[in-house]
Amino acid sequence: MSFDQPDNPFFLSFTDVLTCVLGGSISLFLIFVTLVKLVPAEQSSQASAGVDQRAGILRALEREKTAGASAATLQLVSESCETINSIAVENAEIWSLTSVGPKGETLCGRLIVFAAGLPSSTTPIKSDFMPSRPIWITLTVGASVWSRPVVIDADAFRQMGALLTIVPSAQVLNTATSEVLRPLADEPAQ
Amino acid sequence: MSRRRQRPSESSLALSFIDTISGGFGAAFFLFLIFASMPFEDSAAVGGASRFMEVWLRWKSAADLMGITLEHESGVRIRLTSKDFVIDPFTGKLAPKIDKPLWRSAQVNGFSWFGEAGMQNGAEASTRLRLADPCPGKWRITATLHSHLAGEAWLAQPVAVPYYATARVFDGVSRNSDYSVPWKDISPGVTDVLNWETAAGVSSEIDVLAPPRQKLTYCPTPSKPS
Repeated sequence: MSFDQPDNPFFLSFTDVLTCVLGGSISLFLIFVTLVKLVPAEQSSQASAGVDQRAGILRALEREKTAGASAATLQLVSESCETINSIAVENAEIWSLTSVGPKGETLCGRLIVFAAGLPSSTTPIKSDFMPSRPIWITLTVGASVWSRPVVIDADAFRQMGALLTIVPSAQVLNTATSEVLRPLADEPAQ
Repeated sequence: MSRRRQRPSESSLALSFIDTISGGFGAAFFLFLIFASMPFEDSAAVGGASRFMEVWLRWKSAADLMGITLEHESGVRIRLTSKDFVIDPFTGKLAPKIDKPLWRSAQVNGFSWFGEAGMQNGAEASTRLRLADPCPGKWRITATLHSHLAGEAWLAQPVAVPYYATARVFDGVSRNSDYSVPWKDISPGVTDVLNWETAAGVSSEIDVLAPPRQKLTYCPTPSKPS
């Protein structure tokens, strides 16, 4: 028995193929759309949205130059309250935040407001103490928000003398970690 | 007499079972890519727009709390309570429990009902709300002072607290509008409608323009004038 016999149960007509393809594509589409919809907002495809967010921030910065739509904030939140409470930044308004985490832990935070937009020169975010817990960094420029938890490296922290540095010329947030964050650049994070 | 089936002549268009499976997967994937790249409600505006509205409320009392309520011209009234919203304590992202919250995404800081106290800066406290892609139209904002009085002060005369508010609206293209409410006193439990001073005069409403060439699907359709 071979496949080319008409009574072969595996024989598919052209119409069968078309039907299967359409059905398969709709199934795949529904599966992916459902997956995307069901994922909580906090975890929603950070990787794929990251490029869009960076592009949004870059566009917002471009508009900031032309239209004066400056409204940039940098929020740092961590369980390492000693570190957060000793944060110092030049030429910025700093508000202190306290909140409770999902497990009931006390979170300390600082909202650093750059009233005239993101600084045009290199600006360090200094602290006196090395954090023992990750720090959530949330950069907001215009309507674009970029957030990421980072684990500060002790050696890098001592070397830099700061938790992170805003480097506008290189369009990066240079953190005291092994990685360089690129929320300001229209390219994938490295 | 043996039955012999007449076999069709070999056609160049004939498909084997493997051809079918392989072609099917290829075509299904191709169609999936077409479907998946269609513009959908959530992904359409991600990162694409930079329209925003930001409201700051600052008051001179670290012991008291102030909150704001938003009213849109469509009649929708939004109170930022834990019944309708959840805040991410790490990022300040405001996740709505309600349908169509009149904006694409929002960030808040210093709202007491999310477990935070007001933001502190010396003797000043503040709350901040930033809306990305707010619905176009007129917005009215009210401020309320919620005092947390110590027990021995319950019977004392309520003490008014000075506050001021600022707002900035960027239309995503060129216009950047600043609004401000100068320092004024508010008593505990009182709700003030914020009267904004702008370059064009005083108004109790913030005017948010519609984005060019973009339809915000979460916004209520404007009512037709009768």
